[in-house]
Amino acid sequence: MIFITLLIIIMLIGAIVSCILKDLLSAVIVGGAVSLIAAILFYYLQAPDVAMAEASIGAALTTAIFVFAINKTKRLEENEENN
Amino acid sequence: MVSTVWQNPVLLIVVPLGLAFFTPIIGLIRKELVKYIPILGMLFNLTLSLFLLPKVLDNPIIVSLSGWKPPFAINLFVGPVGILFSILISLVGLLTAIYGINYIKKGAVEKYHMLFLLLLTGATGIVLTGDIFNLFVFFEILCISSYALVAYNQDKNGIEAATKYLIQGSLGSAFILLGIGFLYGLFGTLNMADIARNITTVDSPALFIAMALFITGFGVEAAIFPLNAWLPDAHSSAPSTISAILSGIAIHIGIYAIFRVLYTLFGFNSIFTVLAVIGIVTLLIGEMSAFRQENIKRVLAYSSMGQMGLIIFALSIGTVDGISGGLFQIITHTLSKSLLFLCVGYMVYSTNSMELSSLNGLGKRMPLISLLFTIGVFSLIGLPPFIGFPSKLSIILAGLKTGETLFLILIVLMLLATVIEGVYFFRIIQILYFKEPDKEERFKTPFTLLFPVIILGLLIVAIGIYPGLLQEILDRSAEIFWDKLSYIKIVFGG
Amino acid sequence: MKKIISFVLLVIIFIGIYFAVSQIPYGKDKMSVSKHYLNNGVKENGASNIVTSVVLNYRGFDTLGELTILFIGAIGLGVVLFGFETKGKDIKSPSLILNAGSTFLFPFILLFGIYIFIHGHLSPGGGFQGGAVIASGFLISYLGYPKKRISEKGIHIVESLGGTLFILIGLLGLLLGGYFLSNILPKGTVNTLVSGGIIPLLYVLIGIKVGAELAGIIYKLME
Repeated sequence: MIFITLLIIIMLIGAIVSCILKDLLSAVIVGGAVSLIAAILFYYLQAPDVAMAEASIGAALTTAIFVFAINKTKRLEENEENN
Repeated sequence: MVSTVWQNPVLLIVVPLGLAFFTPIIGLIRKELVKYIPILGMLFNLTLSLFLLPKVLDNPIIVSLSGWKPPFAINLFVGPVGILFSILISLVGLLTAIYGINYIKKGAVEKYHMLFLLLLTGATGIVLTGDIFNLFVFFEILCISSYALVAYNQDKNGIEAATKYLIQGSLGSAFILLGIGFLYGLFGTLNMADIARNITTVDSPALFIAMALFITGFGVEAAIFPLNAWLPDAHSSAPSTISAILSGIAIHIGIYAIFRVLYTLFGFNSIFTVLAVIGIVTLLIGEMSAFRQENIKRVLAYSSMGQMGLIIFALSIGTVDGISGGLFQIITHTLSKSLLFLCVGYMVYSTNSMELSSLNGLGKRMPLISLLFTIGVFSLIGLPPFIGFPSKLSIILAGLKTGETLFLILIVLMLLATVIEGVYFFRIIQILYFKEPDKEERFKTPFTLLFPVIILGLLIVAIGIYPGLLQEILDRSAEIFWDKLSYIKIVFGG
Repeated sequence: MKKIISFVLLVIIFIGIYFAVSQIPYGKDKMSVSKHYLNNGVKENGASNIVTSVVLNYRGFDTLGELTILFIGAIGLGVVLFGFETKGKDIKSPSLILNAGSTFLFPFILLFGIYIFIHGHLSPGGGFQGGAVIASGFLISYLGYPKKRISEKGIHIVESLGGTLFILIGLLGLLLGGYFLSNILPKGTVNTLVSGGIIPLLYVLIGIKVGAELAGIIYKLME
């Protein structure tokens, strides 16, 4: 029980951190970690099909697609001068 | 239940889907045949829908897929409102596909026709289904195809508009999914009739939150007042055939989804007054913003936003006459706005600019298209021999019949908005006919571009002169749409 | 200023959703539809994985919709990136470990993916999961050999054939059984490989189609 609470807290912190980081590559990797923790939680809730789908698509393929997109554009997010 | 295989309403969704999946193979055999596939699909849909309309007016058909009984499997509820929308979608889709044979020349042409057919399939699926998660799946098909098609021109405006539309649309879909999750948790089933049957057993504010999530989520697609920031950019940067489909079909489907959820699942309650006020606010904001635009497609996009407010106001009056008036206004807006966008498409293509000043004197250079543009404008404003007049009249009569002072004030504001609309549209007509053109030669319009707009113009005039035939179909459809108990009885077999 | 308003809105949405979630009775007796699936799922379908029988038989129409959405995603990428040549940063040539490792792992990952979707009706898994594993196999083979390309025509043919065959099987169910996607093949004995009517056939089609689509998306982005 305490293990699951710890995982949920790490997931929430990871989600907030990935919105705030300026380096887009680190933000994408933290996002992949959030997907992986979600897959582990699905397994605890006794849904193995959903856990497999989330792990393979959310943690692996989505992160890869984001990394390719960052490779073609820019890596560091600019500061916003005008709102 | 239906007798033979070819009359089964499932084919309205499955045959265009199958044609869309088969298109890449046809594209590999011969590239020129790809342009004709959407026309084939929509012709089949139109014939089958027209054939099913008399049968459905008496009693709606229930088709259950995979053979199991309704609460345990998905079923389609084919009622008169569904078939009416299906006729409208396939008619406008057919005419726009004919227009698109010669209009789309650069870019990935084969993929354009595939996405076009899939958008229309998604729209048909939404109006015919009886299961709420199925509604969400087809809604996603509609939304994602329209995100890709808005970015078709690959210029800077198009991609920026498509990105804005995509982000807001995805947020809307997330809200809808949360709402469906709540309903499933509270009732244990995903069938709309089953939820409607059990809605009184749960009396809690959780239902209110689910309703709010649904209105917000579908409202992004339907362009209600605070959620419509994507609409002017998306409808003006897309190619003109896609603007015609988006303004004519996609935003109406959003409104259909909101009101299907509100009338059938939740029943009649006090949220309708709030929706009526939001509708009139959207109408006023749309018309007043359209007044100051300099780009002809943005004028039409803001006018679409305003008309959506009018339709929301009509449908949230809450009586059978209100629903009938709202459906009539949906038909008017679809036919007129598609006509306007198709005419404007050819004007923009020949003069290569979208500014209002480039339309100087086009009345002399392309006389037939300008005449049809004028017919479209007059029917949107609501002048007598065209279809806009009986539809706006029936909305005003339905509002006055309720007798509440709030509706009286809202109707006065609606008439004020009609006056503003008339002013800016007459300014455009004056530029078309009474200014001097830059060059003097006349344009030769190809036949495939003229044929759809002439058919739309003839339909507008014909229904405008003789609205009685349509009126009884609409009254009967509105009765069935409004009646929640008969919906439950028809699905579960009495 | 904008940040304060968006934070307040987020707090309101959070309170609303928390309140709604706390009203749902978890695990009580309302779930009549799920009870029916649990009790009669194996008997009516012949597949021992009940999730599979729900996905492909009771709610097969939604699965068709999801396949269409993946198809639209792949085509939409082709529309937006048509004729687009960007100069990304050059990918360095891979190191020896990546090269040798990807050569070694690629056939095993492919075999694992095919195993997942063939046994979809017997153990957890199915078409979508198997297709995603196959696509990640292609991803790792691409990282090991950046110069090798797969023909795009082949991917389009596989995608389109998969979708068309799915709809044709459904229409065959309409002709022979009276309802779209009804189960027309015999059900067989439970827990063997050939059981459950048309369910294994549909999963094979879905697995191949999803694998080809996701691999095609990755290749399109690599160029």
